[in-house]
Amino acid sequence: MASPLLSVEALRVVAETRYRQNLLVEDISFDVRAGEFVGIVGESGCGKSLTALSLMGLLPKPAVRASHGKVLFENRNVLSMPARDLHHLRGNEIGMIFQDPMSALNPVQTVGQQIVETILLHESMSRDAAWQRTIDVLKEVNIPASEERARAYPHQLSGGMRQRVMIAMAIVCRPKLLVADEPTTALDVTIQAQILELLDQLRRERGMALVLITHDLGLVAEYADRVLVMYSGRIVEQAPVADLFTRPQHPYTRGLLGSVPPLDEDVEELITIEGQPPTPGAWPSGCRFLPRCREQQVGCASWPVRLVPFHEDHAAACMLLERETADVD
Amino acid sequence: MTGYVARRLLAAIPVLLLVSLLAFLLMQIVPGDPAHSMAGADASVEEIEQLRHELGLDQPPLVRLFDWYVALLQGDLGRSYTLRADVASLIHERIPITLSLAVYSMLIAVPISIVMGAVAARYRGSFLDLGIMGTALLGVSVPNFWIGIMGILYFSVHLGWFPSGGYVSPGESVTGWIRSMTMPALVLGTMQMGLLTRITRSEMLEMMHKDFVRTARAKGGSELRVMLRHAMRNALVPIVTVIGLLFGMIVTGAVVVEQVFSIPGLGRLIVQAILTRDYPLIQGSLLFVAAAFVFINLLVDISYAYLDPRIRQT
Repeated sequence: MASPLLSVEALRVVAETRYRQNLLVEDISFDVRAGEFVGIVGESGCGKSLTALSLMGLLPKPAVRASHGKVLFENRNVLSMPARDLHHLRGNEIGMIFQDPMSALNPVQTVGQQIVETILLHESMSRDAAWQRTIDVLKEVNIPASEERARAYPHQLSGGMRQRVMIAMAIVCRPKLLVADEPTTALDVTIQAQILELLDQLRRERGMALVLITHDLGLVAEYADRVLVMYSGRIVEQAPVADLFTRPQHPYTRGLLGSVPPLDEDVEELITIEGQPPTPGAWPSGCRFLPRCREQQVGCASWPVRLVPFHEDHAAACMLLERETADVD
Repeated sequence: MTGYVARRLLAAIPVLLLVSLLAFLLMQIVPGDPAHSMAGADASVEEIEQLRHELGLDQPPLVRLFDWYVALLQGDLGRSYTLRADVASLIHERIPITLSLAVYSMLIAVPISIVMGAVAARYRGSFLDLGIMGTALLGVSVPNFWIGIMGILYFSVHLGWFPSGGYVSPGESVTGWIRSMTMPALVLGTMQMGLLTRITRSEMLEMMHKDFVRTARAKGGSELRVMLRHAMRNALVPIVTVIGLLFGMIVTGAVVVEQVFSIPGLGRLIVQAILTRDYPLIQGSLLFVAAAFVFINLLVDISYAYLDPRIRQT
């Protein structure tokens, strides 16, 4: 098989102060193939956004940095790239869109100017040609009256429009990978579906890979090819999307799926996973889900956490799975 | 925009009336009598009384205040007791000197402090940052007159680069003007530089954590480009506000600096007027300074609209 477009190997992200080092993300490894749609799912604070920022070397240095591991994009390590290569990579080969399009756009520049800047950073062409291309890309993300809208400031557009502008800006240089960090969280539910549909359509048309960071399992179920479930800074399960939903292997994934309320019957009470995820720095040694796990057994606390392969692309970080697979053998 | 400017100018009228009233009342409280100082030490009681009558000082304060307002509404600021000239023409004579000093001082202070503030923000926590912030703190804390005197001692007396005082008009000699004004402008600008450096640094630090700055990085912009086009451009709104306020404060500073460097500007005129209890001159100049303050603030508010499109709409 050809080498993947993006390959993350044993990534560790830490927050450093003068006195201590806090582990935020640990032992993250996954691949993204060209054109693939990968969803990363997890609660707030599980490290999914930091993982996304690492892909472009955008961690807020010096407070937070990747202390270990590699992020290989087409076999070049993003984490150790010289600044020039990094500037070439960002916006050109990897595009990124963020959660809140209001604060992610520069308030004192028109949206057109901001897209033109992206184009001119990576391609040599006249300002007029870049402007024309800006209008074209705005059309492509379904912004009506795009010439007029290009002259608008971010505050003059609706939330959905602003996110479309962000998408236009991220894809205008035809990147091979688009990283979308909770792109619909700040938007109305009706707009969410439109934005996701647009992202998926662009991915298919352009053969671009898409990494979607979200806490919404429903979105992932509908669109993604493969899913990574993160909990407390680690990947606890990764699987093709159908596999994950039909036979989840990690108790946390099972809990998440179990807490999605069914639409076709009345429920007395919403099912939740009891307790709170631990804060970084207060992680239990061993399995971090242990304090909330209903299926725990003797030995869980001392089990060295690692992903246990289950079936082809499917793996989960659970001792119970390891015991089961050992029994089968 | 025209309506906005007109409204702001109208709103300035009560402010100016209040300032002139305060100036008048202060002069009533402060002991001293202009007739005494004008008539000289050997004047008899009758002579002084005669002078008081001529100047209208024997009238009750309320009557004098009323007379002054009536004249003011006719565009008459009155006549100076001591300098035997119209207050308006005296102020008019001095404005170019003080204004050029203030502008020169800001031309030096603003670029330096914006660059220093941005550099300090970029290298936050480094020795460079520490050095810049330490110097800025000194600039804010050390009084103008002391820096002025030290400057004269070193650059004028010791090195002989600049004259120790006096004023050369640019009509006479441009280089002479620059030589005579550079040190006063620098001294006048030290506090402004200190304040502005600190404010630029904190604004830049705030901006650099904004999401749109992260977006600019994600687009592939170099660090310098991200700083200038995105962070700095957004930090300018608060920075310009402060520049406007500082420009107003410079008039206060000019009082001291003009005294130290014997520059015949508005600041010196005010000091002179206060020392001789020259009521019309004091009231006239204070009113002028207040009007200048209001005008500069109006300019600052107008500039917002150019700097921030979100304000332009409302």
